Amino acid sequence: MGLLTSQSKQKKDQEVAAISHKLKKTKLSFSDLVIPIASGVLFIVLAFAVFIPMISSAFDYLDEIKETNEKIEQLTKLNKQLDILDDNQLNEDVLVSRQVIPKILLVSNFVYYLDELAKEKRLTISELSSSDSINGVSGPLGYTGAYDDVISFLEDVQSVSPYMIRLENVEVSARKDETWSISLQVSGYYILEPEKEPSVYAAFQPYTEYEDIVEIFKTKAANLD
Amino acid sequence: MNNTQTQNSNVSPQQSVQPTPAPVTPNTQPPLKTTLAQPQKAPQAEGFNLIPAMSEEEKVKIKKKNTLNIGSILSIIALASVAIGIVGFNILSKAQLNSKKASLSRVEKTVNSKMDKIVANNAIVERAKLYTQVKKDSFSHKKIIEFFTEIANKTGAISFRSMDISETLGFEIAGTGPSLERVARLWYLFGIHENIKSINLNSVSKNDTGATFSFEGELNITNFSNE
Repeated sequence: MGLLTSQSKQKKDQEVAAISHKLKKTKLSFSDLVIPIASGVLFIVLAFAVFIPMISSAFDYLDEIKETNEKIEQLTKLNKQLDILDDNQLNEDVLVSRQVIPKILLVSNFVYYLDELAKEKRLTISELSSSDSINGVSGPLGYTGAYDDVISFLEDVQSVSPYMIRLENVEVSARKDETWSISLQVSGYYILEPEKEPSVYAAFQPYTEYEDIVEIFKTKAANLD
Repeated sequence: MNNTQTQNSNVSPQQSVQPTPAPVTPNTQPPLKTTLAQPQKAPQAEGFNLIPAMSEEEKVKIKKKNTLNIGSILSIIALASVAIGIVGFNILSKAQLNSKKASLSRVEKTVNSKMDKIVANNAIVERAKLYTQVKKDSFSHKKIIEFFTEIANKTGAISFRSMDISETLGFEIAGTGPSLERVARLWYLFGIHENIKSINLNSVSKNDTGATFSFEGELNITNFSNE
C-alpha cells in the first residue's frame, strides 16, 4: 500500500516537472519574433517610401477629380448658353456694336464726322484738334454760330452721334456780333480687341443681358449709314 | 493538425527495413506482408525503428515552431493586404481621374468649336459695359442750358452772356439784367429750384444800362441725366 502511494507521488512530481518544463519551453524568444519584426520594419520602410507618397498622390487625384468635375459643369453650362444664342442675330449685333464702338477709331474719321456735323448746323469752326488717348480719341473743339444751331449741335453730338462720345467742360458764350460760341472737350471711344482667343474657363456673360444697349447701338449705327 | 501529423510521422517512420523471416513457431502463421512504403505499427513484429521517438521537449519545440509560422504568415498577409489596398486605391483614383479628364477634353473640344460665338459675344458685352460706364454719369448739356433759359424767362429781361458746365455738374453763369431786383429774383428762383443743389452769387454790379451778375453753383443730375 505504502509502495503504491510513493509511486503515485513520484509520478505526480514527474508530471508537474514535465508541465513546468513545457511551460518554460513555450515562452517567446527573440528568434520567434524575427519575421513579425521584419515585417513591421518592412512596412515602415514601405510606408515612407511607397505608401505615403501613393496615398498623397491618390488624394491629389481626388482633388483633381473634383476640379475636373467643376470644369465639366462650367463648360457644359457655357455650351448650353452658346447654343441659346442665335448665330445670325449674334453676327448682326456684333457688326452693329463694332460700328458704334469700333476696334480702332481713327482720329481723321472722328474729326471728319464732327466737322461734317458742324457744317450741317451752319457752324463756323474756331478750334478743332484731336489726338489718341487711352482707348479713345479726344481733343478740344470750338465753333461759332446762331444760338439755336449751337444748342442743336450740342444735342446731336451727344445723342445722335453714331460714335460713343463724351462731352466735358462745355462753355457756351455770347459774342459781340450776336452769335454764340461753343467750346468743349470731346472724346470718342474705341475698344482694342485682343488677338488671342479668350479662355473657355473665363467668366461668360451672354450679351442678351444687354439687349437695351444693343438696341441703342442699332439706332446709332443707323445714323452712320 | 500539423502537430498530429508530425507525431504520427515520428511514431511510424518510413524506412527501408529488410524483411526478416518470420519466427519459427510451432503454429504456422501466415507470413507478414511488409513493403518498403508501408508503415509498421510500433509494437509489431520484429522491426527496428531507427529514428528515436520524440521527447516531450522536441514535441513542444515543433508545436512552437508551427505557431510562430502562422504568426509570421499573418503579419505578411497583413502587410500584403495594406499594400494591395493602398496601391488599389491609388490605381482606382488615377483611373477615375483619367476618365474625367477624357470627358473634360470632349466638352472642351465642343466648346472650342464655338469659339467664334464666344469672341463675338464678348465683343458686344465689352462695348455694352463701356457704354454703361461712360453714360452712367453723363448728362444732357442741352437740357441744362434750356433750364437756365427757362428760369431767366420767368424772371424777365435776363440774358446770359456765358454758361460754363463742368463734368462734375458745377456751373458758372454770367449775364445782365435790367435791375438788381431782377437779379435778386433770379438768385431766389435758382435757390429754391430742385434742380440746383447749391448756388452762390459771385459778383453783381449796377451801371447805367442795368445790372451784371455772375453765379456759380452745382446742379442736381436727377433731371438732366441721359436716358
